[in-house]
Amino acid sequence: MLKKDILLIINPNASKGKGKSKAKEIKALFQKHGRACTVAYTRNQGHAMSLAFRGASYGYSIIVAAGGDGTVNEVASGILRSGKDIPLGIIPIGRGNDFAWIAGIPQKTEEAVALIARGNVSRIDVGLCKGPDHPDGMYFLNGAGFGFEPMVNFKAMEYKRLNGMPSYVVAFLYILRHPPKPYHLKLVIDGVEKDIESQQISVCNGRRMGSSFMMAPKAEIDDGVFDVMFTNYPLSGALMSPIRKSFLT
Amino acid sequence: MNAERVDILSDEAVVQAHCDGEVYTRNGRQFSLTILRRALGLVRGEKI
Repeated sequence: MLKKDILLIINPNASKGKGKSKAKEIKALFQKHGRACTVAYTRNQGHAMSLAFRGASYGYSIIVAAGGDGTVNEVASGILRSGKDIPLGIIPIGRGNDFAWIAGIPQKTEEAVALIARGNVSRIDVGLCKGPDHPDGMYFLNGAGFGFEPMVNFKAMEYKRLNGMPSYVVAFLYILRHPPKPYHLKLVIDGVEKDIESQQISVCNGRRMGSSFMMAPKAEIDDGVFDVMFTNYPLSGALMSPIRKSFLT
Repeated sequence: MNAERVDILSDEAVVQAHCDGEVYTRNGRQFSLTILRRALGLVRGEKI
């Protein structure tokens, strides 16, 4: 039986619909580095997680997510749910690629493949978010949030002809004109309660969200802490100024 | 920026949201966030 080496999980519709040709390119690049690569295509939301779960159980040495932060989260979730200590590799071909950026993954596919082929693994922190829809929890690598920031993200996903930063800029301007209602939040952090009215909270493992927002400039993915960013109501023009500044940095 | 930075040092922080409007999270109106320290191996590059 052949030893399982690298499992590549990729959305065939990723990279502006060129996922299949991208997969062939990536497989050939791995072969140039002397690594055997098996390709698995995702079919729908959640499929990347089940593919990663099975891949980890089958004993692949590295499981690679080719896509954006959503695909990366799903693949990481599958690995973690398997209970196997299999490392994750990332080839950033998604919309925002925020986690890949903070992880120091090259944007160029050839360089990302070379990095994975070298296989220098380090350990990182992971978030687990539990709620009514997901009582077992959803893992996240880069961050979790609600209010303004995820609204921008969801809006950006509606723009099929825009990708990366332009889609977030347009979505940002739209949500700026249609901001969320303030939420009454009770935060319990280290046993200390805090009541706030807020339209925005981001729990960050990484620094950047939405391709350009530097939400938590001091965050590190291996420091053992989240950086929690929230705004007090109202999300005024004065408050928006530094957000715009960080967006354009 | 009228925001605060808080490091969660405990293993679980609970966030509760009470409002009449829609909460834009895929995880419902009440959720808990837990940090799993160094739980995953990652093939990563140089630190940014």
